[in-house]
Amino acid sequence: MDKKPKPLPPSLRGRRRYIAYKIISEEKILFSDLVNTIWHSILNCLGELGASESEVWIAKDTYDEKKQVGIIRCSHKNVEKVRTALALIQRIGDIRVVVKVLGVSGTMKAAKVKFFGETKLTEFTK
Amino acid sequence: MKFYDLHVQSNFSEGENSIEELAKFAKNLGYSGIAVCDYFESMEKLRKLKEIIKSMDIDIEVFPGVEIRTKSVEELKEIIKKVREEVLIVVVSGGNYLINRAACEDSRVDILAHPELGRNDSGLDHICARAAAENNVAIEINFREMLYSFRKPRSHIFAHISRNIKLCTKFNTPLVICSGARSIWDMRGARELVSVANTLGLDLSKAFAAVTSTPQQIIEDNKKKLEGKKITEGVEIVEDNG
Repeated sequence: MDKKPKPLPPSLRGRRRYIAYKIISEEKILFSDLVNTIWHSILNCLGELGASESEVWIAKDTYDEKKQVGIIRCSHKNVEKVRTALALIQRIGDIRVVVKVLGVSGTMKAAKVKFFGETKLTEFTK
Repeated sequence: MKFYDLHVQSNFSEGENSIEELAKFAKNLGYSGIAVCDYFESMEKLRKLKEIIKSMDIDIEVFPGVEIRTKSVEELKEIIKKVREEVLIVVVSGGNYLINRAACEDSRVDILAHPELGRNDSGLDHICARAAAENNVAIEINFREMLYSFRKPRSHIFAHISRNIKLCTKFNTPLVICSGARSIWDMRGARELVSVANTLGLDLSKAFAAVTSTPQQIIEDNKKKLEGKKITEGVEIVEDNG
């Protein structure tokens, strides 16, 4: 027997949305600083209860340090609240930033194709 | 969809960046037009601002505006009389109840900015909201105020703004969402501002109208009025093509 619970069937999983964002800043932003700031803003703005409801997860491997773009996952009913929390970020450390939301998508794959311009693998096989 | 930000301040008064930088950044964020509303100091400065905007060569619309900050109603009326024929957007800096009310009752004013600034109430009542609806004065939801406050003050500002939103939806008062930016780093995308207003209790469709159709209406009306084509509400000079 596995020690982990089995992954839930799709009908029982929570519904998610994926927010693609871009950080506009004068200097480079490290991912660790970014995560701290976003969580700080979400906890400040929505509170602990609101943060738990919005089920935020900041995907690390989608963050591109060169282009400063990435993806945040949240529950589908709290997209507007998470966007508000992102809009209220004004600086990361001492660097002034603007978080620009590129768009919202239903799957991570679609978000990457739509907003980061990644090509699908199927297009190569044609 | 065209997005407008009708309240941005440049280094002409207390801002940090030049008009060109602001316009470029706004273009980056997806705006179709911004209005530069610096604090009123003198008529010469206002004319200079207009000249600079005219001489700029950027593919985004930049409108000349003015923000009036005063404490007495008489002075407010005097300044409005002077600047109304000169600029496209007239913003009154709210905060004082008497000023808020005078601005709401004056149809020459376009926008009443941050009526709740520095107060411990929302700064508007049903009388103001009704008067503003009659005189077509838009009430502003100011983003900069929320951005530069924390914890307790910010929660109060949230509460006051959502109360104003409630009042304005009740009386059908026009609402506009503006960044009130004093530097490029205070600006946010229009969709983000819509989200903020939506979380504070404004319907999504009305929040969209507050950054698109309402500001566009203000701009178009004022352009007509400045050209002398629109005399008052319902009286317009129409060109005869036949």
